Amino acid sequence: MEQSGTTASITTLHQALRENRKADARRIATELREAYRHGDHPRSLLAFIESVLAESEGNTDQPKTTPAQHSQAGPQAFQWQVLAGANRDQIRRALGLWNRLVPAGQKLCVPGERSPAELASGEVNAEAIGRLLVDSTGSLPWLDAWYTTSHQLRVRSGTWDQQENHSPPQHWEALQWQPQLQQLVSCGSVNLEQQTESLHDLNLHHPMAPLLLLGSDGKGGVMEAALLPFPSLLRHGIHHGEVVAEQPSRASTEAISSHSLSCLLRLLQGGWPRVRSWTIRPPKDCPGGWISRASVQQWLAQMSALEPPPHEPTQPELHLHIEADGLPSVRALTGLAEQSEKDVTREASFVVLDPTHLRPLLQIRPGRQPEAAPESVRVHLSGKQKIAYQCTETVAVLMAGDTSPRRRPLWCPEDATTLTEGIDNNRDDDRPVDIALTSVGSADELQFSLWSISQQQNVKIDRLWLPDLNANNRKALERSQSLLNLMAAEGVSIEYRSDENLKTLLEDSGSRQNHLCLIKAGVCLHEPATLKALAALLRPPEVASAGCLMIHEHQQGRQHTIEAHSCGLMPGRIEPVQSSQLELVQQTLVNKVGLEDRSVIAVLSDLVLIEPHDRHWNLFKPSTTWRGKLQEQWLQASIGAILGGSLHRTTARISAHYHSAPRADQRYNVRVEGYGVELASALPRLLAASTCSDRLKP
Amino acid sequence: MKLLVVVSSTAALNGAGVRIRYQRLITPLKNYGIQLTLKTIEQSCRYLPHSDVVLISKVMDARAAALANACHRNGALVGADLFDNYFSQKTITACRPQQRWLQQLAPLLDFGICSTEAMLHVVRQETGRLPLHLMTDCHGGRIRRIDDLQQSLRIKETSLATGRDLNVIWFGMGDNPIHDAGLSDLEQHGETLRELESTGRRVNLRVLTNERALSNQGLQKLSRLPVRTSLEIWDEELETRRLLEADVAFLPVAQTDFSRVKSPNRGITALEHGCQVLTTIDSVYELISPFTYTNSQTLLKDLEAGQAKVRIDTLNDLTRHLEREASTTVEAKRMKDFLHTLREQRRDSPASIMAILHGIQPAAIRADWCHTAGAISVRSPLTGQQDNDDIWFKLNERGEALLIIQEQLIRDKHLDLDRAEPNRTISRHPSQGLRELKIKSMVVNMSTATHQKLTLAIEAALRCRTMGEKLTLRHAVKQATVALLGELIPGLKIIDNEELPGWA
Repeated sequence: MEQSGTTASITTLHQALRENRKADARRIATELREAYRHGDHPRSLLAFIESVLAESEGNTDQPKTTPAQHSQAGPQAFQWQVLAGANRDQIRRALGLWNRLVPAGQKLCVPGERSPAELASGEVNAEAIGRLLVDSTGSLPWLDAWYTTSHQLRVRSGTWDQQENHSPPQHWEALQWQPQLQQLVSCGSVNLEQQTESLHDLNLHHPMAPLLLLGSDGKGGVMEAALLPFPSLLRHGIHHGEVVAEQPSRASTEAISSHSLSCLLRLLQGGWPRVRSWTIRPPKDCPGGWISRASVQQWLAQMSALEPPPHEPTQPELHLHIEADGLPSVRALTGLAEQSEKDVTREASFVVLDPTHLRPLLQIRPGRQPEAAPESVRVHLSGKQKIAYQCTETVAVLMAGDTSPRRRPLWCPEDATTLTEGIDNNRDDDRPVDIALTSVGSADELQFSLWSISQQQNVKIDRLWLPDLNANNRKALERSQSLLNLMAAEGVSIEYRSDENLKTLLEDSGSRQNHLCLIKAGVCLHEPATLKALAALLRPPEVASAGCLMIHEHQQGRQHTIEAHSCGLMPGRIEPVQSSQLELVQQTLVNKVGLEDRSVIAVLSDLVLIEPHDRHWNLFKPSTTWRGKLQEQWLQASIGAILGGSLHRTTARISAHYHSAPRADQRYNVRVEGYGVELASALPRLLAASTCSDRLKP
Repeated sequence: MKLLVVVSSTAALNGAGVRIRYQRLITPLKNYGIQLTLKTIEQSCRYLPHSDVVLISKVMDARAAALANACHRNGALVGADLFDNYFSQKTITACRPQQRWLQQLAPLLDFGICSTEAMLHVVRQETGRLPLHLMTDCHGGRIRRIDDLQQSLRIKETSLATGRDLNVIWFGMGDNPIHDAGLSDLEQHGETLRELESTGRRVNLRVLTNERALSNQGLQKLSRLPVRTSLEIWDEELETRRLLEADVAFLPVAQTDFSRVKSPNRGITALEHGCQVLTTIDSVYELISPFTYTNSQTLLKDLEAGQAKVRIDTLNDLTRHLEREASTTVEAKRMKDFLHTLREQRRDSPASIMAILHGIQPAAIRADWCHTAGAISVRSPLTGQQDNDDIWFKLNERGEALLIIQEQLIRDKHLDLDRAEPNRTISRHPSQGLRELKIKSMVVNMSTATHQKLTLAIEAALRCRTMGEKLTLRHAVKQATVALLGELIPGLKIIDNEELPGWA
């Protein structure tokens, strides 16, 4: 058979079917099957031919649908009735809640009733609303659910028990509002089995829109109704991070139910300030960001249009700014708690997600920022007259995206030219630096630290202080003697000093109005703009010290990896404070947020540039206990500075590295005493001065 | 006129890019008296004497500049084909090597070629007055085989009319070393695929992509797609087969500086195989916009009504359109005109003495290649292993830094080493053809302190073991090496090949 003849036959087969000429169709299909036996033809076409033959032979296992049916086959409107013994009030309340949550949809009535169901004012309470929601305590044995794709929910359901005088629904239909069709359409169903738990997939029409669940006898007779108001709070959903951040100690499903309920109640009760508008600016080089997705835009518009019931108080409106790829949290869109902290924190709390799995990585809680560093604020809220609104609840979820090592190598997170562009090299307030090497280390460690210091550009190094010569460090110093001589020839005054007293160092540098830099031997400032960049961080008057991202490399054979070690210290366990000890831990994840400048409780003394002015350090009283222990003195001094109103800043724009791997995951216990305050009363101030990052464990 | 197109590797020579961009032009250019030859950079130098024009395509290392310099020596016009935008995003650290590459290369070029207007604009910003030519990617000639195309369209139309499946294809590079592109774009626009199911059809998405893209992250992105997805590793033959089966080619484009300037060639290929093209923004596929969709619902409506933009009734229009906008004949003629004008206006630019300076990471540039290109091959003290280079560094048994230089180079360039190190105890290794200069006793035009520091830096560099050590010294060492080379060979132009791809 000729090629052209074959194709013409497909058309004739199509015509025969359309005109219902069964015998012709069968004859053509048989011919075609022969012709198509050899060669590479689309499988769908072969299957179609087979199905025509099967049907004509009376085998209707694979029913063939006609073209006309396909074009109208889309999702069907869901038809239902209420069973005689059903709890009509409960169904009415669920529909009332639904009508409030989906205002753009057609208002639902209980079948047989004329007016749309409404939620009575007395029903807006935790107990009544809680009963309408899908959770493990409700009537639906819904044990767990998670997203498997962007639009598919997998539900693990429990078993169905026949009870003596009551038979619970065996079949639950999940429904969503389809705005294009203006219909309630089914996303699939959950059929309960008597013996075993089972998995069911629901294909959502909209990945974030509320779900109405109708429990029935499987024949369209509904017995119960329930709601899943915010599916995106489920695991692998875009908002799951806020659940993990706000309910850290609860089991997953329980945390999701209670967070959903709490958000829903605030929305219904009114009076809670909430986000009604937003400005979201994903980085220019990220492909669109979540905010560009049509489903997200639709959902946000719908959420912001929701109103509390007419008799409830109105909700003060907030505007949310996000300088990243991110979205407002469900919490922010439904109602935020008022804050009454005294300190002005312009940044609001947010959660950072791994963009690949949407797994929550860390929580950033608000901290004080220098007044003159507005660019470092990623997320903030404003109320009326653009006044900053303070809040510690999670207001946004952000993607950790623009900092992958492939785009931002840890060795040079920001390119040197970009880094120095913003720094004016000829400013009058540029100050000379005194560098105190706090240890000598091995010969190699000392040598490479000194090389890195001698490479610093656009900064005048006034004095270099080295620990006194002794038997242990003599050899290392000898190896670097030529380099030290050269530095001396370049105008650096090299001095050996025996005391490790921070106060004296501060006073000495302060008297010359120099900056003081502490460097541990083995720390290398491999970028020549490092000191200059740290000096730029010190410009705002409230900043007392500045540090940067510290990294180290592992080399095993040819395998070469770089790891982030620390970006300053943040509070560790914050439990009810009995003792005066505060635990500080290293935070390493801040660089995942972006190229950030952040406030911390202390910068590591391994590399820190200090403004030695007395206004920051007058509370710091050196104690003999810490003599010779510079690290302890430094942590005490840092805490004293915060209690006096100062800030410590670190940046992830630039990195310095350890020549030999430092001890991993160090923790420090610091006593807060001698400042005339108890830790309990100092803690809020300490926390506010640190943009804490908490690692989240989903 | 002989046009030599130089690509980076044998793999590139056999890749889709070369096929679409250059091989399609070979015959049409011949009709205008231009003989196009394709060679790898490794082979290129041998062909320079027989070439009138050299076009460098994606050779992203110092060899591009050395080849351009060699072209000047041979009197050939030299240009670069620039088709990926790594140049305008100054804030992405990882793009800096590519940006430096263009900065180094551009002054040595006679012309540049781009595949889209948008890219032309980007390159113009970076290269100033360099003459630029727009050479659109052309169709592959399949569009002229109307009968074949009619047949495949007939099969697709029937299958759509009789089945409920909608076969959608996404094909192309799934990743990029720097930018979020490829599978990211697909994932970002996944819900458009779900919209294609809104009339009850079932979407079968086929993804044809490169193996490297199927990393953990790449696979995660695919697994989040809301439609049935099957995955295959791309090859040319498979692409043709799958395009012939597909109803729709889904080609989403991200609104990034990188993606906005890309060529519409995938769209053209899809049209040539009788696919409907669904994209997300107009700009990239503007050239073929009468035959593309940016709205899934319009596409669905047209498909259900049998009125899709690509159908048997519109084939003649499509052919006419592609012949007008993306035809090899038109592009060949425009190319000929451009090159002729360029040759008439050319001014001789003298070739310089050029050295390729290897950085921390030794790139795959062999010293032999440098010699054939007439360039001097210099290993920095940080590069490590030596490979027949002209100049390199080592420590003697007393721990002093030495500069080693090939006798051949001394003779060729008439270098006066007695001036460089008068009181030397130069070791001569006539058998190996090498000479050694002790750096600390070299006569240099700099202060004693600077000379000492330079010597110290080189000595320390030769003892470096870790990447951190090398990075700490890299500025000092680069300054030292450049200063020493400048002393030895006056007027030397140094091309720094410090690519830093392994830093992450």
